[in-house]
Amino acid sequence: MTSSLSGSAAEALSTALAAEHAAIFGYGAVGARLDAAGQTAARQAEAAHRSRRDAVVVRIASANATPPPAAPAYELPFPVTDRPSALKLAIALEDGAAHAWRQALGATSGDDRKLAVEALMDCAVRATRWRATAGISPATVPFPGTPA
Amino acid sequence: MHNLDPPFPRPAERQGITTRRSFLRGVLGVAGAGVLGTGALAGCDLLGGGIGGGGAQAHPLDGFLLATVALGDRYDATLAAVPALAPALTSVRDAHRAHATALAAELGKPAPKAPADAAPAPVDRAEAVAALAAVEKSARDEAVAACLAGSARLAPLLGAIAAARASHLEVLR
Repeated sequence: MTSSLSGSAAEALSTALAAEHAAIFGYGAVGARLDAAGQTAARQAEAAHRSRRDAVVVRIASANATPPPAAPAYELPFPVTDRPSALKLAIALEDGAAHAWRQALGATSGDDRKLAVEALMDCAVRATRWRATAGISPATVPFPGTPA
Repeated sequence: MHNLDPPFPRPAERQGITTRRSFLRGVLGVAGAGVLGTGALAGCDLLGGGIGGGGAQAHPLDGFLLATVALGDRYDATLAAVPALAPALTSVRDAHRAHATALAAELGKPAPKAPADAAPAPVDRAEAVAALAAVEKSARDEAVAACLAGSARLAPLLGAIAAARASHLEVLR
C-alpha cells in the first residue's frame, strides 16, 4: 500500500530511523556491562527500538521512498568500559532517539505523528528508568527530546 | 517560522553530500552532547516564546493550559500534605510549572490561575502517590490528544509534555 509523505515528513522519519539504527547498535555495547536486571532492561529496550525501526522502514517504503539503512559501523560517543559508562550510553541512546522523534512531531500529522509521540514517550520513559538505575536524581527531565 | 533547533544530521534526501558514517555519527554525537551537558546545543524553540499572539484571545489550548497549571497546584497541595514526598516529587511539580510557562509563552499569554481544588490532598503517602499517578495518567493522555490535534508549531512542545508526564509515572510507581 502506498501512502504519501511530505518531503519534510520523509526527512524527519528518516532522521528518526537513523537514530533508531544507532540506538540498536549502541545497546549491543550496553548489556554486557550490566547485571542481570540491567541486561534484561537493555534487551527489552533494544527490542523496542528494533520494532520501531521496522515500523518506520515499512512506513517510509509505503510512500515509495527509500529508508536509510543502518551503517556498517558506528562510533560510540565515549568508551563503554564499565557499568557507569554503559548506563550513560543507554541514557544517551534514549535521549538521542527522543530528540529525533520530538523533531518529527512538527513535520508529521495523523498516524505518523502518533508514531512519533508514542516513540518520544517510550524513549523518555526508558531514559528515566536508566537514570534511576544510575542513581541520577531527578530521573526525569522537564522536556524530553530537548537537548539540555 | 523560525527554527532554532540544534543542528542535526543531514536528511536522507541529501545524503549524497555527506557520508553515511558521518551522518550516523552525528546521531550519537547529539546524544553524547546531551548527556555531557555541554550546553552547546541549547537554544530549542520551546522556551523562546514571543510568538506574535499577544492579547488574550481564546485558544483551543486554553483548557489544556489551565489543567497544566492545576496539575502543578495539585502537586503543591500533595507536598504540603505529605512533606516526605518532597525529595521525590518537587522536580515533577517543577516540570508541570515549566510546561505551563512554556505553553503560555507559545500562546502569547500569561499562565492563568487555576481555581482551588475542592478535594483535599490525601495525607497517607501511598494514597497520595496513587492519586497523583491516576492524575498523571489522564494528563498524559490529554497531552497526547493535544499533540495529535495541535499545529506543527505546537506539536513538539505538546509531545514533550506528554513524554514528561509518561516519565512521571515511573517516579510514582
